[in-house]
Amino acid sequence: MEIKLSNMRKIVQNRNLKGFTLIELIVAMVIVGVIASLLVVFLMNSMNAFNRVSTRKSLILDASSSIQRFSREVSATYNIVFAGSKLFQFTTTTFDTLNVLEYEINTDGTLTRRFSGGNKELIAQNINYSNSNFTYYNVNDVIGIPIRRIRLTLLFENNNQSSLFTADVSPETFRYQ
Amino acid sequence: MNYKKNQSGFTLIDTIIGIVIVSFVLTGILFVIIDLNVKSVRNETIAKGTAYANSVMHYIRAHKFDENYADSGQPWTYPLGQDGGDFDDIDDFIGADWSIIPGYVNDGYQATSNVIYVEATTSWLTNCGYATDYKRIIVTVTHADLLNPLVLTSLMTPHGN
Repeated sequence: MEIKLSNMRKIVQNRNLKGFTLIELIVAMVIVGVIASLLVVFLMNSMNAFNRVSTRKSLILDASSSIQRFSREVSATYNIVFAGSKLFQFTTTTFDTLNVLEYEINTDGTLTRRFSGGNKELIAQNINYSNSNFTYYNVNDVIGIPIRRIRLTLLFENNNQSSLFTADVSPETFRYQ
Repeated sequence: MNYKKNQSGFTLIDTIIGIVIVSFVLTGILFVIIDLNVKSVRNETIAKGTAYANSVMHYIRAHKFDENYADSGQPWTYPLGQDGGDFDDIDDFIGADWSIIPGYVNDGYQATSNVIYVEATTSWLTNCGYATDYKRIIVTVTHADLLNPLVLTSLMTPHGN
């Protein structure tokens, strides 16, 4: 069956192929806009939840790894060199008095570790400086000397979320009487 | 022709049914995300509880194996438990109050400690009922969000005290 060019043009013209009018486009855009904004409202909770979960996760990881490291090293304390609220310096044997280990809470919200005068090593970040500290307890569980127990309190803060971690270390060399 | 018959596109009913199905699927996805949130809380509870249990264990192990250790030596105290109102050996911490380590009690954690005599005949695990050179320390931390309690345990001997 042959179709002539003139017939073809007729077929095309007869169909409703005029394209969208401006009104139709605007109506479509409004509808899409309403649906999109509803979707954003609907998904916002999930997105917030995801953000919260990932922030929290990194915060907990920082907290537990730093506390683990701190308590492992401090539990071997033999001699305390300096005991301040933001800085704790100690040695771990009787004969090596030179190589001091230190843990420090810094004003920039980090917990750092330094061995034998080397570089400060980052242990944890996102710490609230004024609410994090070292405290020292004597044999009667009262703050004071001679020190029997070292407490590290860290308040982690990130994206409006916070978590308080406390770890007590009683070095076995400082045996209670 | 046949193919022209069913070419009317989606009706309103079709569209509404589609939207309902999509919303059910989205609700399902939301539940998965909420569950993720709960799991993350559980991780945090475990991390904190472990730090608490570790602090308690440190505290107990910084004490003497037995109150007779520095004095007359053996026999070791039997039965174990708090005696004399002071904390001069590890078994004085049976049923001790662990609120001295703050930051956890207010968060709903509860720590309990127990010390028992063990030896080879009880596989070093269960209370043997008489004094030996081996005491097992058991620290248990519980919390409403934890499915199982967190338990730390360690063995202590008078040697190297």
